[in-house]
Amino acid sequence: MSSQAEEELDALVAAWRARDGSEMLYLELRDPMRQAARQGIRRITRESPDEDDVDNVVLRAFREVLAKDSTEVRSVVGFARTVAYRRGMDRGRQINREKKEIRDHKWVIHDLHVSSKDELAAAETERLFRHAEACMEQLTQDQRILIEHIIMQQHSLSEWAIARGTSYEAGRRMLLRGLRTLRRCVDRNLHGDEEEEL
Amino acid sequence: MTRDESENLLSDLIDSQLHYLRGEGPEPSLADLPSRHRAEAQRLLHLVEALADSLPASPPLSEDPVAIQLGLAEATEGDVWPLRNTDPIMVSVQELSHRLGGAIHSEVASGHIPDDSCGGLICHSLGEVVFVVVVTDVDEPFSSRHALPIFHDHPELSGVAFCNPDATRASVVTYNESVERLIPARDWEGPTALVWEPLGIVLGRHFERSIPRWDEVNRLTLADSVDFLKIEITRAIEEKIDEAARSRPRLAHKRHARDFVVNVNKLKVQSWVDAVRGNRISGDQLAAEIADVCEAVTS
Repeated sequence: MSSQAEEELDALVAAWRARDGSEMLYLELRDPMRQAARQGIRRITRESPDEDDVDNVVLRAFREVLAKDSTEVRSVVGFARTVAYRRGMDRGRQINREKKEIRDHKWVIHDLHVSSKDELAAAETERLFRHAEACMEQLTQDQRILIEHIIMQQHSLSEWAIARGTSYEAGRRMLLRGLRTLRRCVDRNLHGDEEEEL
Repeated sequence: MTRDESENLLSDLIDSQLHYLRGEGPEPSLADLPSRHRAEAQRLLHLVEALADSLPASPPLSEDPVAIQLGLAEATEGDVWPLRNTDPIMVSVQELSHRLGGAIHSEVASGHIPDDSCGGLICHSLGEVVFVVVVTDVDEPFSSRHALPIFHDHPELSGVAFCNPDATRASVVTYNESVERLIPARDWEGPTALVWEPLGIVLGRHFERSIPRWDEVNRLTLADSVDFLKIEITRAIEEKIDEAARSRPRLAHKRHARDFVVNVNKLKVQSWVDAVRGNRISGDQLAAEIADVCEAVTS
């Protein structure tokens, strides 16, 4: 992450610690938390999550973020992503129990321990995402639509190919080319950040 | 390895990574990949993981349900935020219904919703109809009199529950608790102060007092109930016959009827009562049997 972005995030953390920056903090964290919640739910249910469930998870997770002692957190966005992911998995388990009509299908909140390692790994994922998002303009329109459709929204590549009237193999090749272009751009930006830090 | 082969291998890994992120397969392994391709493969898989499930993006803040719930945005004027199946209130009511064996049915309230509310739910049971009103701030001075306008607009309600969006603080008010009332041997009492408890507890307490205890009924043995009733039936028959015997009708046909009742076989009457109670005889059949007995007496 660039030093400017880090300064902005430090300001958010300061506001969070002062407990008067909930809105700014929520605006900064809501997209990564929604993404993590979706991934957590999907990991358990193996289905596209309902956005109502995602909202519910984000609501619970954000309240846990606000309640957390900020001095114990190394990366607020990493912590928030991890909490949202784990709570997404809890919600996924509840959904599975509801589907099986298991009598006790309350939302079981497991004890949450987020290690520094988890926080930093999640923070790194968020950093990678932000660079990738900025690099999307490097893609052709077709590559961008494909990546948004197949990876960011998790739709089926074979259905995309049928709808486009093209082959599955052609879709795979286009996806790989797009991802390679994106990754090269991200690596350049990361390299530029590292030089800036030095 | 040719270029096509290496590209196919990378595409396969990307497929596997997407399946893994969907929970449909194991985490892809790079062990079979030539070492010169592993670094690139690793970076591509990390990128896929970072991008997965990032859409749809969050809505504008004023339309963000989470922001509205957190009090960071206000719902659009005139637009009541609809309760959804995953809202804590809906979850709480569904759990309660499940605990009470499906005795409670709920539906999102339409029509009139109090101005300072952000949604509502109507809960029905056999004998109760409760309107759960969602209010954003239960810490405002609230008393049970705030339920009175709702009762006036909806006379079918047996209770109004005020509840915060989290379902952690709720209070159920009945009509008589929302008005001034005279308590015998005490004094006039005004609307009661509200006591806040989790929605599942207050709503459960309210519904449980009127839900039939079918489990207790099912545990009754038929012999116990029939023996008790037999004694009561015999006593009732004898009382009616004694009452008829004490009567002094003036009209001839009424004296005739009195004589019939006084002289009728008590066991016969008992058998009629048992047959009606056991649903073994219809009203017409009973009338026909009585008519037969009357004819037999007359002849």
